[in-house]
Amino acid sequence: MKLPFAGSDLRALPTRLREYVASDARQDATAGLTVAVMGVPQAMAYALIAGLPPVWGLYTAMVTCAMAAVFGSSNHLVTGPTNAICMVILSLTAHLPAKYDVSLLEIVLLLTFLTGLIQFLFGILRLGGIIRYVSHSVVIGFTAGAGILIAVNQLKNILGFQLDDHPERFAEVLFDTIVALPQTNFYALALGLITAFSVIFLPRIDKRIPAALVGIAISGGLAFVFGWHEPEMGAGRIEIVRDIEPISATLNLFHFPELLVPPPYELTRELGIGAVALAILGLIEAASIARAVASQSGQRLDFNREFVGQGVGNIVGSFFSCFAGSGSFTRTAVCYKSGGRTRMAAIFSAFWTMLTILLFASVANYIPKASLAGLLIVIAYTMIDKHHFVITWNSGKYSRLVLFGTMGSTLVLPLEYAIFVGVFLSIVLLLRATGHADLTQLVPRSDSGFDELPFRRAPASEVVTVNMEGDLYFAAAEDLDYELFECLTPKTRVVILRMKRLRAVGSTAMAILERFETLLRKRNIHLVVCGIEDRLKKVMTGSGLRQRIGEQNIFYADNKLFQSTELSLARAWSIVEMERRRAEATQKSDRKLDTSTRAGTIMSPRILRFGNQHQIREATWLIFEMMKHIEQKTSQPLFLQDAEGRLDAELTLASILKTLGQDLKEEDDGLESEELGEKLREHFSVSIGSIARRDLPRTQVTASLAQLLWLSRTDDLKTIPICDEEGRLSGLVGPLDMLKGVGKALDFDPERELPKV
Amino acid sequence: MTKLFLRISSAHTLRETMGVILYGEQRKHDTGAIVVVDEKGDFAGVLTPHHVVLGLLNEHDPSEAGATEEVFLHSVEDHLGNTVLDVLPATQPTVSPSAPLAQLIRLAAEGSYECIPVIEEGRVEGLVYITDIFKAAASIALNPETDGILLEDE
Repeated sequence: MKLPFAGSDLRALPTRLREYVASDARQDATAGLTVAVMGVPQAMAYALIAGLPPVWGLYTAMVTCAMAAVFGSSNHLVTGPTNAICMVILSLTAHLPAKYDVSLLEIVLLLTFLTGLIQFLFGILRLGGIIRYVSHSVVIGFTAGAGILIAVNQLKNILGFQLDDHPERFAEVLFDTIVALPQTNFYALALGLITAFSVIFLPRIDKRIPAALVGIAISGGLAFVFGWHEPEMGAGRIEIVRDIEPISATLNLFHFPELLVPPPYELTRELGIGAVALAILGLIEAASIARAVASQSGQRLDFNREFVGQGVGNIVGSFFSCFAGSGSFTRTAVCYKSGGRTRMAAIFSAFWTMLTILLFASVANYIPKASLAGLLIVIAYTMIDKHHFVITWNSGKYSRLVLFGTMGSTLVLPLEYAIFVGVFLSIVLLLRATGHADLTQLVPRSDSGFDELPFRRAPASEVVTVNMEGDLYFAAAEDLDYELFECLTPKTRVVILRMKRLRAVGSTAMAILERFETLLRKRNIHLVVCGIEDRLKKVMTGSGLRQRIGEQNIFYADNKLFQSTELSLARAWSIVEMERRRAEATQKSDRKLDTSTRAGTIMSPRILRFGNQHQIREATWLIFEMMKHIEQKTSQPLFLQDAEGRLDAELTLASILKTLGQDLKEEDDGLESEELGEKLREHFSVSIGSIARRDLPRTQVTASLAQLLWLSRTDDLKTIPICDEEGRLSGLVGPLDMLKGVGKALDFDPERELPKV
Repeated sequence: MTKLFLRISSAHTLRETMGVILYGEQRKHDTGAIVVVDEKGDFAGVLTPHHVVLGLLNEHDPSEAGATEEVFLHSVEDHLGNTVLDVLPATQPTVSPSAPLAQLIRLAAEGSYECIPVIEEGRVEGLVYITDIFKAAASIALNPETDGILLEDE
């Protein structure tokens, strides 16, 4: 896309101009003409909305349009009178002439100047980005509301009567219109309906027909031919453009706004708020339209420059009898679709509009007001974007609230306030949508790294890792507490908060941390935080929270992804382990206090495991080796286990000696050690499984002291093996252990019970 | 032979015996066998913790209904008043200091004795524990060729 006049080198201008004429001029001129043909009736009609002379609409479509194009950035944006803005102008100014005794036209010019100035400032202060935060729902809702207002306001024009007391409020206008219905001028109504039907049905025959122009021409022609505008019609006379203010075929439009030097304080103050609203609305409209068309044309827009363009357009316009304008959606779309290529297309449309004034002023004067009203009512209907209503309705209750809040306020409040309501609502919506931290849970993978799971989907674990992501503003912090708590399971011992991806002001992040820390402490759950950025670290230090959480539980953000998370995870598990040990220790001491002594508490877990498939020789050697390390004289049986490790049999020293010494007779008492050893060895190959005792009870750790004692007697066992649930040996309870158990249960003090000597 | 051993009178109660055993245990004494002497000071037998355990029991199976820990401990308290004589095993072989290993092995194989007292002139000289007999037997039976464990696969 070539931008004419964009180069600062003036010497290059002729060349560039030639280039432009060769490449884009014809396209732009055609597009401009199409826009003008469509725009002229629109411009006149919109002036009617604002209660201003239709010729002012034409001025605005010339001056403001051309200026905005020169200083703006969009190639296709056509600025000029727009329906919603005109409605706001009406709402802002209609009551003021009577109040301040100044002409309406001067008030409107002051308003236009102020609006332009504000927009210009927005542009040069680079506040263009702000518009992005105004929700589309606001635009849809506001436009629809304005459409309803326009339609209701134009009813009187299409019905051909005037409302005597100039009502402004929606309800009043509607009521007065209904009351005045008997005064309906059926000539006017007929003209309005002809225009409306033309605008609706002509495009269905051929899209290229300039329906508005044709409709107005037909109805205007009819009225002119039948002379309905003649004073002879009496009460049935219809109003035409000339009655409001005649359009003359001269371009004597420069007019210095009288109220500018000096601006009357009270009036300026009263208009000021309206001007801000109007400026914002104008910028929203222009920006969203420019964006919409840029998304199709692929042009990159500079919103700040677009704002400057709008501002300059309105400022300059205020010196040329223009009212505030903005981007017109319909004309912009036509400009793009009919092949407009550069900003010159809009300038061409201004030129063609001017030509229209010069050539057809006398004809335009005869356009009936009712025809323009008919056009407006159709336009008003199209302003209600049914398609987007459905979309917005389906996109959640907040969007719905903004949409209907804005629309409703247009009907109830002064229109300028409706804009503020809309902006306010969309900011609330924005905060709602973005001011919500997303919570996910990180679950360490077996290899390395983490799986990120939706919140509360992670399997229950002692350590819960919560990843906080997104923007957070203060009010949401409180909700977040409760959400965070939902990740806790009865198993949870440690919560890790990963705050690296959380974007929040330090004080907000602090507030969350502080509250969460307190609440977890109450539940006796540990808190470990990771991904702490320097900024937050500083705030944490200052508030003492760093100390409360404990430096060992804080891990600072590192360049390496997940490093601090991994460290914190290691820390968390060590806390869990520490706790587990502590719990075990207290459980043990609890058991001591417990009067019911169990096998598990008195058994000695030191046991030698030996397979039942061995021979006596091996058992002998093993026990012999073992005895070298034991000073205790008391004999310990050897418990044998089967191939699966389950308790199988008991092998006592006596049974080994009995087997080995089975051949010894009294006459062998005199044998030398050598010979005796030889005799004993003879039975070395006997399998221990065959001599061991097999009928053993499978006592478990839960067996009571009484049961253990009872077993010693009934099973004639000195030492009772204790098994786990699978039958594997887990400990032994000897007679001494039992006596110790009894002593403990009876709170027996051995020293005091010693026999008195 | 162990010359260091605990000694108790057959007239002592089980409560006193338990005191001796547990106190000895605390002092790391061997408490696996206690020599019992009668009122005249003559050898009466050998008492092991196992005998004490058996002596604390009444005739009720603790798995029966109503057998709580409290009930059990109550009956144990009652039994602690019994004397050593009440629980002392009737038979206890003894040997002289000159008894050969073969004889000791034969005696050890007879039953579940913890030790064999060595008696000289009616006085207990010391105790030969079963573990001592086993060690002695094993040391003469085992030789370098047969040492160690041969796994069946080998």
